[in-house]
Amino acid sequence: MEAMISAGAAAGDEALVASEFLTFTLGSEEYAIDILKVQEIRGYETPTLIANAPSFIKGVINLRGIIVPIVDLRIKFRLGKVEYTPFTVVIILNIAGRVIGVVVDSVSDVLSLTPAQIRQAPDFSGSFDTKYIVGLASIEARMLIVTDIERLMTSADMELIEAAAE
Amino acid sequence: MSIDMSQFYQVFFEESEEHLAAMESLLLDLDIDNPDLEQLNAIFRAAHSIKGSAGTFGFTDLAETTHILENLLDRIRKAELPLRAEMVDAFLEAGDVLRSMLEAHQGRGTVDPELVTQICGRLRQLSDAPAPAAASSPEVAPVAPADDEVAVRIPEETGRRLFDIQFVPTEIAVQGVGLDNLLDELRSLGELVIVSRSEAGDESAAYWELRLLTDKPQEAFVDQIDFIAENGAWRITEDTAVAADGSTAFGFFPDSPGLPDEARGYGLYANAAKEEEAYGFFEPLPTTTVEDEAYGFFEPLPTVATEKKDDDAGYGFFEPLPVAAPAPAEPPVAMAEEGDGFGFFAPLTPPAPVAPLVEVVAPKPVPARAERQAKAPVSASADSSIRVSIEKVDQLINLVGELVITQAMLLQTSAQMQDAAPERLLNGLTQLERNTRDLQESVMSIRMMPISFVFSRFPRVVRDLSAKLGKQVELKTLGETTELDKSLIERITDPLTHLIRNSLDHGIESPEKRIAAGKSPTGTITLKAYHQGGNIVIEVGDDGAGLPRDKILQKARERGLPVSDQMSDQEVFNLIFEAGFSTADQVTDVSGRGVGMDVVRRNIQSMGGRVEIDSMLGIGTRMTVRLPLTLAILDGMSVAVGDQIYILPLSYVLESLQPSPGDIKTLSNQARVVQVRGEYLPVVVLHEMFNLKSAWTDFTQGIMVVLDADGARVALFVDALLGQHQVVIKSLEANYRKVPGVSGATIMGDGHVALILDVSAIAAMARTSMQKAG
Repeated sequence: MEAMISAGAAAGDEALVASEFLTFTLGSEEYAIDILKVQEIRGYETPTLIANAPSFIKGVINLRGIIVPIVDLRIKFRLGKVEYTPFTVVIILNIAGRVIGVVVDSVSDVLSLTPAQIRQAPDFSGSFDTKYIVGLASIEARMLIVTDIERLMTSADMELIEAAAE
Repeated sequence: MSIDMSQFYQVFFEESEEHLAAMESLLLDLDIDNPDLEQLNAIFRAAHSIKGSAGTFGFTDLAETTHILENLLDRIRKAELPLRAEMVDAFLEAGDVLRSMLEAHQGRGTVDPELVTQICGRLRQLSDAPAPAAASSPEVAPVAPADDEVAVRIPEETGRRLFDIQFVPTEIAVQGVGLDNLLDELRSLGELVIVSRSEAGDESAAYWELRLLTDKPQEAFVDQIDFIAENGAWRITEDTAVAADGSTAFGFFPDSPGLPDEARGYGLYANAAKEEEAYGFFEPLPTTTVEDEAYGFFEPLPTVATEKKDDDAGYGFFEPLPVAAPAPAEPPVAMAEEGDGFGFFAPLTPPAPVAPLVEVVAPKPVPARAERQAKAPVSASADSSIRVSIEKVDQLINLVGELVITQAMLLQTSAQMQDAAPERLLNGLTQLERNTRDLQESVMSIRMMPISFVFSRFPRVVRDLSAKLGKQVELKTLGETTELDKSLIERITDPLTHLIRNSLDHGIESPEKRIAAGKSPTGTITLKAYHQGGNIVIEVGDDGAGLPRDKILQKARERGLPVSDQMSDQEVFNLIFEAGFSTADQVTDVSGRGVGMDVVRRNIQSMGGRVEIDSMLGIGTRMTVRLPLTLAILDGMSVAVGDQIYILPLSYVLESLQPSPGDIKTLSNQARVVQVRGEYLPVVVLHEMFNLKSAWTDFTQGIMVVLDADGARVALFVDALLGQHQVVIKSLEANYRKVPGVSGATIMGDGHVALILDVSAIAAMARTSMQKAG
C-alpha cells in the first residue's frame, strides 16, 4: 500500500487506483492516513501513567487484555488546545506488528483518494517534518495532509520503539 | 510430488529432536554388559523414525547417517554384536551430528562434513567388526542360549530361506549411495544374486530384482528395502521350499512335491535369463494357486500403476507366512547336499565364508513381541496427547485472564450494590468466581511441564564432562515430576547446566583427592526439584570440596571489591556471582574464566527468581534456585502513589512499616536512610523516582515497604498499601518499550492498567543515585 502511494506520487501507472484514507483533525488541520493501518476508533479513557516518559506519551490502556501505549499527537506537535472531552477520540493503529493508540481532536470521515489526487507537499516548515508527509490532497474546499503514519510512529521522534528510542 | 512438504518441516524437526533426546537418554541408561532388549529396541525405533521421516522429507544426509547408525543398532539388538562402551560413545556422537544436521536444516549453524564422514566411518567400522565368536569355527552350533526365550529360535536360525526381492528404488537412492549400501547390507546377510537391475536412463527396467539366500528372517532387511524403494513399491516373497530339506519341515506342506520337483525348479532357475522363465519355477510349489495370482501381478511390475492391487493380493498371501510357517529346521550341510539341484546356487551354498551364519541371531518371535509390547504404551500416549502450538495456548491463557478480570469487575460492581443485589445474582457470581478460578488453573496447567525435560539432559553433560576432567561423578535426580511453566523450562536449562558444570569442575575433587580426604572416590551431584509455597525450588548439590571462603575473599581483594573479614558466609559466597570472578587457579575450557556465574544469576533474576549458596568446606556446596511457578502470573502487592497504582512482586516484600519521625535520617548527600530494628536501610522514594505527585510529603504519613532485592535490603516509600492480588503479567514491550524500573504491566479488577515494579532495578537505581550523590 505504501509502495503504491509513493509510486502514485511519482505519477506511476497506478495513478487511477484509489485507496481509502481515514481523515481526522488535529487543531485546525485535517490529516489523512491509510485506513488499512487503523484497527479501531474508541473514546478516550484516562491511561495509566508511565514514569519518566515524554509528555506526549499519555500512558498505557487496557485494550481487551492488550497493553496499548497512548500518544497524544496534539502535544507532540503542539497543536491547538489539549483538552480531553467526551468527544476526544483515540485511533488505535496497527503498525509494524504493534498496537498503538493516537489521541486526536476528532475523526471526520473515510475518503477514497487516487494517487493522482495527492500532490507533492511543498517544503514547508510545518508542525511536523515533511518526511512523514506523503503529499497534500484537496477535496472540495478542504486540504488534507496525507501522512505516512507508519513512518511517523516508528520514528525515533516518537520514542515508542526500543531500537528507535536508543 | 504435488504436496508441499515444507509445511511439515517444523513437525519433522520437533519430532526428530524428541527422538534424538529419547535416544540419548536411553543410551545413557543402557547397561553395557547386560543391555535390555526392550531399551535397544526403543533406541532402534527412535533412529528408525528419524530415518524414515528424514527420507520422506528429502533430508538425505540425515537419512543416510541414521541409516548407518541403525545398521549397527540393528546388529546389536539382534545380539549379533555385543554392545561395547565405544559403541555407546559413537552413538552419542552420531546423535550430536544428527542434531547439528537438524539445526543446519533449520538454518542454524552448519555441519562439519568431516565430522560426519568420521562418525559414519566409525559406525561402519564398529558394525563390520565380526563378532568374536564367529571368527574361527563357522560350523559350530549356536552357543547354547541362556534363557528360554532364546531357546525358541534355535530351529529357525539354521534354516536358510530364499527371498525374492523386487523394488523400484527412489531417484535419490539411485543417485546417491543408498542403493549400494543396501546391496552391501544384503550381501552381509547371506548370498545375494542380482537378477535384474535398472540401468541409469533405462526407463523400462526401473526396478530391481534380487534373490537373497539367508538365514535371517525377512524382518532383517525389510526396513532397508522399504527405505530405498519408492513409496510402497517393493515386494519380498519367500520361497519356503528352498529352505526345506525334505525331512521334518515338509510336514507343513502335505502336498509338497518331492525333491525332484525342486531340482527341476532350480534347474529352470539356473537357466533363467528372463523373468518370465524364472517365474515358471514357482509353479510346482505347494501353494501354487494363490502364489500364481500374486506372481501374476508381478509381470507388469515395471509400471508402478498396478502396484495397489498387487499389494492386496500379495500381502494377503504372504502376511501370515512368517508366523504360521516358521522356517523349517535345516542344518547347513543339507544345503550342500542339494547342490546339484540348485545349479545356479551351487557355488554359493557353502555357508563357511558367511560370518552371520553362526552368529547368535536374535530370536524372531521375541523382538516381534517386544515390539508389540513396547508399541502399545506408545500408541496409548499418542492418543492421549496432542501437539498444539504454544501460541494457541497463550491465546487461551490471555482469554482466561480477560475472563478473570471481567469476573472481578462484576464482583466489584455487585459489592457496590450491597443489599440491592438480588440473592440469585450474588449466588451466580460466587459460582462464576469458582468456575473461573478452576478454569484458570487448568488452563495454566496446560503450559506446565515436568522438570524432567530439563533434568534429562544432564546425565549426558555429567558423563561427558566427568570423562573430560577425569573425575568420577554420579548424578542423582529427585523430583523430576515437579511441574513448571514451559517458558521457564526453556530458560532454566542454561543456568542449570552452568551450575552443574561449575559443581563438577570446582566442587567435585579428583578421585585421588577424594580418597585422601576419606571420601568415596565417586562424587555425587544431586539435582532436586520441589515446590515450596508459590515457588519451585531447584537445588544443585555436590559433596565436593565446598567453597573456600578465604580464597574468595583474597580474590575479591585482588579485584578491588569492597570486602572485609567480617562479612557473613552468605555475603562472601555471593561474591562468586560477581562478573569476572573466578577462584579457579587454572583456566580450563570448562570453566575458570569467571564468565558464567554472573550470567547465571542474571538469567535467574530475569525469570523473577533467586539463587542462594550454602557451602561447607570439605563437605560440599548447594546452590538453591528459587523460581516462580510461571511467568504469566505473579503474586503481587498493590501500592498507591498519588493517583497511580503499582504492583510489587510479593516475593520481594519482607515487611512494611510506618516510620516514626526519628527513624528517618538524612545524610549529607540528600540520601535518606530509615532505621528498622537497629539497622539502617536506604530509602527509595517512589514518587521522586517516578516524578509523581505524592499524597504525602512527610515520611511518617506514608508506608515504608522493606524489600529484599538480591540480598540487599531497601525501604521503598509509598503512599499506601492497597492489597494483595494474583496478577496476570502482561508485556509492556509488545507494543511499547522497556521502562526503567518497571518489569511489566497487569490489568486490575476495574480494567485499568497497573505497572509491575522491577524491584532489582529500583534498588540498583537507588544505589547508583546514592553513589552519585555520595
